[in-house]
Amino acid sequence: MTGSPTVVLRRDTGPDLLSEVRQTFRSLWESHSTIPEAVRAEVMLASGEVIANIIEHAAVDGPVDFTMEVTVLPDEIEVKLVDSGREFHLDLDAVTMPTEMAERGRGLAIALALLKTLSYKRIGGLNHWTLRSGPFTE
Amino acid sequence: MSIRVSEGPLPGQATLHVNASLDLTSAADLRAAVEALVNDGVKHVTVDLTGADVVDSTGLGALISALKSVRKNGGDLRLVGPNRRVRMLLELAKLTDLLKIADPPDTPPG
Repeated sequence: MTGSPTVVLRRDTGPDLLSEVRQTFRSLWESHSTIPEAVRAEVMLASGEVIANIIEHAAVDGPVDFTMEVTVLPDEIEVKLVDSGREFHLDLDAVTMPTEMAERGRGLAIALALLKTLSYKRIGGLNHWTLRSGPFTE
Repeated sequence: MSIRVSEGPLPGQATLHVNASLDLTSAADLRAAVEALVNDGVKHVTVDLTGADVVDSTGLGALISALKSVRKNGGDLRLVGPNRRVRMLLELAKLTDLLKIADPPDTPPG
């Protein structure tokens, strides 16, 4: 139980989604100045990587419904991403960084490296991703 | 277009100035710009990331694709001006040996 989200973005996975997500985070940082810069950067980058996966895989047939809920907790940030696209068939425990000459396949490995936890579930025909940042304390 | 091209200062050299996020929405622009330069005979490409506020894994993939293109033509690719977050990403992805960061041209020798 994490309480009400601090900010909610509800829209589709159209072409300017990543830009609007980043703007949503920037607005959130303005009203929560105590969140360390490192945590801000990690949450924005990790969220962007998961959302890029949603756009490329879950929404491969065209835009789908998308919701992002960000909750600022006392010592960490929780991001919940829900979309109505195709199901992901993946094992997050098996995700590794690809070889250096690979042009694809780094997104989830980067997100996993940046976050305290990253989880995925398929519930009721929707994809549910939950991201938790590292603590605010350095 | 978030990428501007300036050729030179010597023949066979060019700089790509990335002036927005280098991500899913702009990676194809970078790939296309490098392909065009390689087809024009440019061998040495510098990617100026001074104006790139965000680079993600798709952007890294485009840089690796660009590096492969110029190397195939006997050239090389260097980065200049990545911000702290982009440097962190390069380290996290273990790409600091592959995607070399050069000093900007106006940096005095240390």
